[in-house]
Amino acid sequence: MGLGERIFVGLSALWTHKLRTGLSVLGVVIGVAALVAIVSMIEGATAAISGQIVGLGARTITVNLYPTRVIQPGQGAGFLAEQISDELRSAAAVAEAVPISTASGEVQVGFNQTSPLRVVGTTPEYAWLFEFWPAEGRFLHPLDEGKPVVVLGAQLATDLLGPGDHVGKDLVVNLQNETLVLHVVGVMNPRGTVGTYDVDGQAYVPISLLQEISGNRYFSTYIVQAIGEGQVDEAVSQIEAILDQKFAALSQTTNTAMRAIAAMPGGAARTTTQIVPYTVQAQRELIQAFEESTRTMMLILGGIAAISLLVGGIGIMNIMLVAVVERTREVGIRMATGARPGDILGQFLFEAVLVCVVGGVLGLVVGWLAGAVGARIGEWPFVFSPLPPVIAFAFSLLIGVVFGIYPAIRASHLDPVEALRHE
Amino acid sequence: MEDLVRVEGVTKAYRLGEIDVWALRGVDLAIHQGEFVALTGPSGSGKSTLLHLMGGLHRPTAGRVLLEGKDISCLSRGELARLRGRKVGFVFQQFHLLPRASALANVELPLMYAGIPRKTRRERALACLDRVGLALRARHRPGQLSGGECQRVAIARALACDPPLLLADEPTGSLDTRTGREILGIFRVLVAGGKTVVVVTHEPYVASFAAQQVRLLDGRLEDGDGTG
Repeated sequence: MGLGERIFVGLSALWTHKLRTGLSVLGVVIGVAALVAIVSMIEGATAAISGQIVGLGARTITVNLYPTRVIQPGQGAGFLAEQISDELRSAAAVAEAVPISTASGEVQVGFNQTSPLRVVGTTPEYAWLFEFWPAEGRFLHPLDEGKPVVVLGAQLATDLLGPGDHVGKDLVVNLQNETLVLHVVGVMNPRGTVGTYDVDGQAYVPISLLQEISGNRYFSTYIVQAIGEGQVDEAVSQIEAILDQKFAALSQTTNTAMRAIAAMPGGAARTTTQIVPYTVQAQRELIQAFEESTRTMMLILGGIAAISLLVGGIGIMNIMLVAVVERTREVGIRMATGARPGDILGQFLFEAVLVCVVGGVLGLVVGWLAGAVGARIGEWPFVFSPLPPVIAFAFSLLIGVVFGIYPAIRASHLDPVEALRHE
Repeated sequence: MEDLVRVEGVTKAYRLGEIDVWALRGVDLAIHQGEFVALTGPSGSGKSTLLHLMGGLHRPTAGRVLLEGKDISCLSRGELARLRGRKVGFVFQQFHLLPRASALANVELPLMYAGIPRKTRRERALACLDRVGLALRARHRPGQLSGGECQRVAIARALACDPPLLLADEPTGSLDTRTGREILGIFRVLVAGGKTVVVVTHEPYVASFAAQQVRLLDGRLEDGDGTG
């Protein structure tokens, strides 16, 4: 019996019970479609998010300083934001360093009505670093230092001031219990989310302004860009060297701080476990962390889809068991005319596999469609990868064999005489 | 004449719940090539069981069944199936045709399991249908054929692999007497052509067609002269 013949016999048996076959196929379709859709959506979302993270730059390094952990207020004049960024920028492997300080405030949007506002204090190099340019007006300028000017994210501008020109308008903002009138000098291009920053929903002010308001000139976050992706590790170690030196210099001048540090095991600031005055994190690590969480997500969702596939498989097994009972006489006739147990086993197993493979192909199509719809809703790219077809084919075949084998074995073990007597 | 079938001291027990039911209690029988034998006896006498044993549908509980001199009592299920396909043709009271397959496809069934290629298979199946006078009905399904026609398709199927032995279990039981005689006429022609036919029946007119009669009663040959 050739393959073509087996397919023909299988198809005609399945065609006899169209509704029943259709429903069993549906079970597999749902399972495979869920798997394919989930894989395709996660691949798309991963591509989009890692695109954003990479958009922030694989050569980006984030530096956080916590000088207040080791120095008293009023000390450590060398920790001014601009000064540190100048020093970081002087490292050989560093192309650019920009300080960032954020604050939450409120903006007056009407009489007695306010809306929350996220304010980012930074320097003019920020635009260059993120290749993030104004659509209207200009970005921050060195001459803006300490001045009450603001550049709005695209979404924020429309939300607060409506459509039309925004440059030249004033905003009343409450920050750290102080009320300021900020002059809008520019509106940025829409950009979406960059890394974890919602850049379109923020307001940008000179970092010096924010420091004056908060009265804290010491702590800051720096976004540093290495000169190349291959120089990230080099840049990280240079930055660490610079910061170690700064904190060591600090230890010679500020005894109060050093007494605290010296009391710790390990002594030096860098190596103490309780006081870490800075962290240096390459963007790559963030990408790795992100990929890890994606993998977890994939496992969880894939597990759910696999369960639905399992349910579909149990449906196949159920229907095949019914089919074996119903077709007992047919089995008897075939055995009486020379069919060996193996022929009967092959016939029923083949039918189950056929149902599953048809379900797998349909499920692949449905899953891809769902993935494409998901991509449109989630606004991420639809990724065509070889994984879904492989999954669809492998899993449907596996389900067919696993859940088809038992009914097929039962059919092949029937006694021919009893099978012929079966009504 | 050579013995086509030899049955030696065969017993067969079925288990029905807690008790064993003895369908055959020690039967010795020889059937020669080219004979037309009728197995008769009241219902429950074990005649169908004996027929099934000769065709390899069952294995005996004790004793031996030899087909063409070869012991088939201890063959595996797969070997028995192969034997049924090539050496034996069955004809049943209820025809036992696949209802959704055409007459031709039904006749092709044993050829398919014997591994005959599709084209040869079709030719041989058509030739067999022609032998029973149904060549023009090849595309009809069993539901579109009369009882007599169905039984002739079943005979064509039994002949498909050209086996030496035809075993018929009440082949006229579902037919009127006239059609039954037609079917028996076909068997008679086949015997004349060298086939060996064993028919199980309880109708005297059917038995009268056969050259030899073997009568069973309670799982034993009634007069012990069945070896003739």
